[in-house]
Amino acid sequence: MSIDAEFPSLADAARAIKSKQISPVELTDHCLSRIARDNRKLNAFVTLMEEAARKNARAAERAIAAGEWRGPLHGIPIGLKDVFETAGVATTANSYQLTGHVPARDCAVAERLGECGAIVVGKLACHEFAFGPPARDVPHPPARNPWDLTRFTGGSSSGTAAAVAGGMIPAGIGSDTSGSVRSPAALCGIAGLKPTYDSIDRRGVIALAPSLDHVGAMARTVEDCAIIFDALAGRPRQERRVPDSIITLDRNLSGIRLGVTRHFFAEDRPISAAGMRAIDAALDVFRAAGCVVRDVRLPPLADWMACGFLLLLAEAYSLHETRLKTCPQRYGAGFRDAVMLGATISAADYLAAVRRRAKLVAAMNEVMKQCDVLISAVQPGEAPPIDAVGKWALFEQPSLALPFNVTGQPALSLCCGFGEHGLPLALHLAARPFDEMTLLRVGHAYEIATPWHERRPPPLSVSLPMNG
Amino acid sequence: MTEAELVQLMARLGIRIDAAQARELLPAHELLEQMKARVRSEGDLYGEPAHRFIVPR
Repeated sequence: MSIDAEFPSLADAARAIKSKQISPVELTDHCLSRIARDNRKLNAFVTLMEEAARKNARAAERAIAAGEWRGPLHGIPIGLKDVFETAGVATTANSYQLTGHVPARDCAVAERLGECGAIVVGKLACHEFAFGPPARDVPHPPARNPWDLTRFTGGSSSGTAAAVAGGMIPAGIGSDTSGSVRSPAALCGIAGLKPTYDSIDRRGVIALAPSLDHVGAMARTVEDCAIIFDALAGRPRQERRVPDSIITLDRNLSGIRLGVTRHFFAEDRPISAAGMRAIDAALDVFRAAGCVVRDVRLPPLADWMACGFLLLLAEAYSLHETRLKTCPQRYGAGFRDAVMLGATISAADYLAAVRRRAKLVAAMNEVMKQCDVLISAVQPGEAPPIDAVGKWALFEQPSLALPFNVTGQPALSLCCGFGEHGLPLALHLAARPFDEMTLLRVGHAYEIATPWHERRPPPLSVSLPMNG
Repeated sequence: MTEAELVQLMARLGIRIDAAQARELLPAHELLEQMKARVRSEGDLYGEPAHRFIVPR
C-alpha cells in the first residue's frame, strides 16, 4: 500500500503496517495532514491530540520493529466521538454544560484502544449529548457531509462519519442510542456497527439513555468494523491472545436465512424509490450467494418508536433534570427542548414502555427463530440538505434504526448504492444477540460482491466559515 | 392542550418556560402524548417483570 493512498481501509493499513510497507508514524502523519487540510471544511474534529498521537505512533513503530505486533489496531489512527472520556483531554459532548470538563481517567474504550496499540488522534464532533438536531447554538458547528458539504451527515456521531468518509482517519468510535452510529454511517456511505447491548464496555462514555446506549464502530468497510469489534468486545486484554493475522470473515452465505422487514420501509416509513430499488438489488445479490430470502413481519414501526422514544426521553431527562432546572441556558435549544419534555413522562408511562419493550423483544425473538439476519433500511433516502433538518425531526417520523436499540441485538449499516443526487444509500442488517459474526459475515460478503464501498467522495472544494 | 396549560404543566414539574417556548413545544408534546397512549393501550395486568435484562445471554 502506498502512503499516498487517499483512503486506506483499516484492514489494508493494518496489513501494510504488519508487513512493514508503511510505518505507524507515516500513517499518523498522513492522517494529521488530511485533518489539517480538510477539517475547516468538514468540522469533523473538535479536539486534536497531535502531540500524543505522534508520540504513540513512534512507540508503535518501535514495538513493531522489535517484533511486538499487538494485532490489527497496532499503529492505526482512530478518532473518538466527544462523549468518550479521555484522560487530560477535554470531553465536552458538544455542550456548554461541560465547558472545561477534562476527565482524569480514560474511558474503557480508550483504555482498550491503547492496549491494542491504536493511535487516538482526537475527539470528534457530535450532536449535543448525542441527541437532537444539528445545531448552531452549541460549542461546535455541525459536521459536514463529505459527499456534499451542504448536506446533513446524520447524527449524532456526525464527526466520526465525516472524518472516516472524508479520508481523515481509517476508523472511529461512535455511540448509538437510536441510530447514532448507523444513521451517519448510512448518509456518509461508510459501514457502521452497533454491536449487542453492553458487548463493548460503556464505562466513561457520557450517557444519553443508559438502557438504549451502545458503543459502535464506524469505518470504510464491514471488515474494518469486525476488526474494531474483535478488539473492543468481550474478554479483557490479559485474557486474549494476540491474533496471528487480520480477522477473516467467511464469505460463504449458502443456507443463510434472510428475513426482510419490508413493512418497515414500504409501509410504516416509506423510503425513496431509489432506496427501494437498491434494497431489492441487494436481495438479488444475497439470493445469488445462496441465501434464502423471505419477507417477515414485526409489530409496526410506530410501536417500536413509541416504546424506544419514551424510554430515551425519560432516561435522558433523569440524567439532565438538575441542569434543566438550574441552568437550562447552557444547553442548545434543540437538545434542551426535546429532553425537557421528558419531564412529562410519568413513572407509569415509563414502566408501560418497559413492559412493552419485553413484548417487542419477544416478538423479535419469534421472528429471529425463522431467520439468521434481518434486512431493512436505515434512512428514508439520501442525506437531506442540512438546513432542511427541522428541530422536531426525531419526533415526527418513526426511526428505522431504533428497533434494534429497543431489543439490544446487533445491527449494521452499509452502503448499497447511490441515489439521484449521487449520495449514498444504505442497507440495514441485524442478527440475534451476540451473533455479530453472522452479521459481519453477511455484510462482508455483500461488500465483496458489490462495488459501492469502493466509491469515494469528490475532492472538497468549498471552505465553510468556522461557524457554518 | 393550550400554550398556557403547557406552561402550567411544566411549572408544576419545576421547569420554567414562556409562552413562545410553549408554542414551539406543543407539537412535539402532542406527538409524545400519542406515544404514551400507544404503549399504554393494552392495559392488561399480566406484564412482564419490568427489570428483566433485555438481551438473553
